[in-house]
Amino acid sequence: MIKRNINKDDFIPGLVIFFLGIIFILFVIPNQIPKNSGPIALSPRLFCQIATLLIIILSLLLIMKSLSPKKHGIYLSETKLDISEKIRVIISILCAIGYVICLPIFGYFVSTIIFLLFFLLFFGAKKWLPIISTIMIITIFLYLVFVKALQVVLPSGILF
Amino acid sequence: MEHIFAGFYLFIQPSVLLATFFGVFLGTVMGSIPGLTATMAIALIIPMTFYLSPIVSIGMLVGAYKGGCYGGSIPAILLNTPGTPAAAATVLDGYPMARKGKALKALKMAIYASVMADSFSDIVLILISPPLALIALKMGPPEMASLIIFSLLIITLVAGKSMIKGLIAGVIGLIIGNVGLDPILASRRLTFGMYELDEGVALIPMLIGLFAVSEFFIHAAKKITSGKLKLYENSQNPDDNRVTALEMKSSLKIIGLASVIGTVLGAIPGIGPSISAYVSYGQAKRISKNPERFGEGAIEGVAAAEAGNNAVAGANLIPLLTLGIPGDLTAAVLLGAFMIQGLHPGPLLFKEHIDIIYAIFMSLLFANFCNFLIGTQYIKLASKVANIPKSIIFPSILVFCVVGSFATNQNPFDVWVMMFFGIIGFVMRRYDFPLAPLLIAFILEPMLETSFRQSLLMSAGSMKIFLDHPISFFILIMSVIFLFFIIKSNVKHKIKIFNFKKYN
Repeated sequence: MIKRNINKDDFIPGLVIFFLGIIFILFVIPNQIPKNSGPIALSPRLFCQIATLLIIILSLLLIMKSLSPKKHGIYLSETKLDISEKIRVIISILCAIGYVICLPIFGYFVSTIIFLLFFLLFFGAKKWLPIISTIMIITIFLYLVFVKALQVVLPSGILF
Repeated sequence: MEHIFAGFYLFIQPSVLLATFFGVFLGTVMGSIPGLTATMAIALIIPMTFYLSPIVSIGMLVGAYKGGCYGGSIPAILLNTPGTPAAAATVLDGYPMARKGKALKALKMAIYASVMADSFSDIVLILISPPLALIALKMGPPEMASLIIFSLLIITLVAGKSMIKGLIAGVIGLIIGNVGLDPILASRRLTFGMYELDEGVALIPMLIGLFAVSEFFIHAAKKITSGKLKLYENSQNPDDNRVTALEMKSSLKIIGLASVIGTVLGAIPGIGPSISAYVSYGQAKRISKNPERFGEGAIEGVAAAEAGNNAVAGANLIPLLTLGIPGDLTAAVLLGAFMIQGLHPGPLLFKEHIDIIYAIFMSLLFANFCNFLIGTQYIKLASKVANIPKSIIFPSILVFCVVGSFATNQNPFDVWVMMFFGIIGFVMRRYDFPLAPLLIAFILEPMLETSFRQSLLMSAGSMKIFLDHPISFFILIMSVIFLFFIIKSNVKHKIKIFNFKKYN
């Protein structure tokens, strides 16, 4: 009996994209794009429908490829992560989102100083002198370029 | 002639010269830091250029592109780590040279080869673009649609490791390009009730998210333990620290060959500088009298790789400027920058704004001069910059990403768009989906959709129109032939890799 090794790096995204394609063509396009009763070329849905059909076909091909009994592991992802690395990525994504949420609350500069300090420590910076000088240089540079030179009104919060 | 003078007047402004110089400097610095690419340099510079005039901003971006192309060779030679993917072939002989104490010689050859190849490529661009644009002016909607399909097919099929994933990435780009107002009827599409999406997904936050924020997340996964990499000491022999006349003479033929290869490959959409560098390196080894020295620190190897990857820089602007089709990722980013400035690259730009085209040509040549000037001086500083700890680089990058996304429209929604595409970009890279087809398809979608639907309107809904027009038919036949060869070579390549893995 041939043992089938499923290539998860192809199978999982293939399956997700396939279901998203189905949801898109059945629910999203009819709800989000108006219908046109005129010639087909005028239909705003036409191009989106063609693209979605293509993506469904391609995702099916990807699923079939992942199930085929060929040898896998020829191409290994350069970004394959172990469990501790996955946790680090999730933390960094959540903190980056937290940074964006904090921008209108604490203001751009206060949020930037807090999160820059956190990320410097998170990325493994240990010595305080480079940490403090990096924060100061970046903050002053951003202030001079964006606020003073380009006249950008950066979000100000309750503190600054 | 008066157009050339008008172009010269636009170019000679101090702000243009200064911006080009600054762009080259920034590109060189960013390219020399491993993990930061020329594309990322441009993505981070675009928000600053939004407030500048078109020529100033294009000069700065083109400068950053050229600087980034050369900058990538610095860590490749000094640290055995290519600063950009395009510099991977430079490692093969550059690092062995550094190990022998000849790092300065390798770096100097890299800058000479880069500037010569780049200038050759720019001259070809200047000579070929105007007549090509005249031909392009005669193309109607069916020809344009076929040409975009052909370009997208090449870009999606050669990008990344899997053809299917490349195609999926391209189609995702087309779907994202559908968001916003319909180009013909102006009805709202896929906006989910968010008025911020009426004009479509904003390019700059998307770009920054896909290429810079996703890089941040990838590097966040690994805890950086050691700060600095080992650098080899330079030799005390003065001849080991400079390129001798004899070495230059023996490398000139190779630089010429690599320039031609890079220019030809660069003009074809989808063939980026990495492929060109490897092809040039392979050909240089083949014609060399001492092929056994390649890989052991041959100066001709550095010359071939650097000339090969830099010759792409000018050539990939040929399809961009004449047809409005970006040849590679960086050209796609430049196209976005053009559009932000209200300029639409393509044959009409030659007709309506020929002075701007001439000014761009002049800033390309001036950027080469700056590249030489900065490159030869930057060598002294390079080892320090290339070795800046990643623990400092990447947190700083995120801060720049946030301010860059916000600054363009001063809209917090754009920062969320950036974050969304940062996560999407990370997931795609995790599963080996290439990002370049997504971005290029997204940028080309409005043009493709408009010409496709206009063609159908012309033919009362019949797809036969694409076969009835001779140029369109020819392009479609070319697409099929290309598809056949790519699939064939891909299967062969996989068999080769499988056999290699099996017996090693």
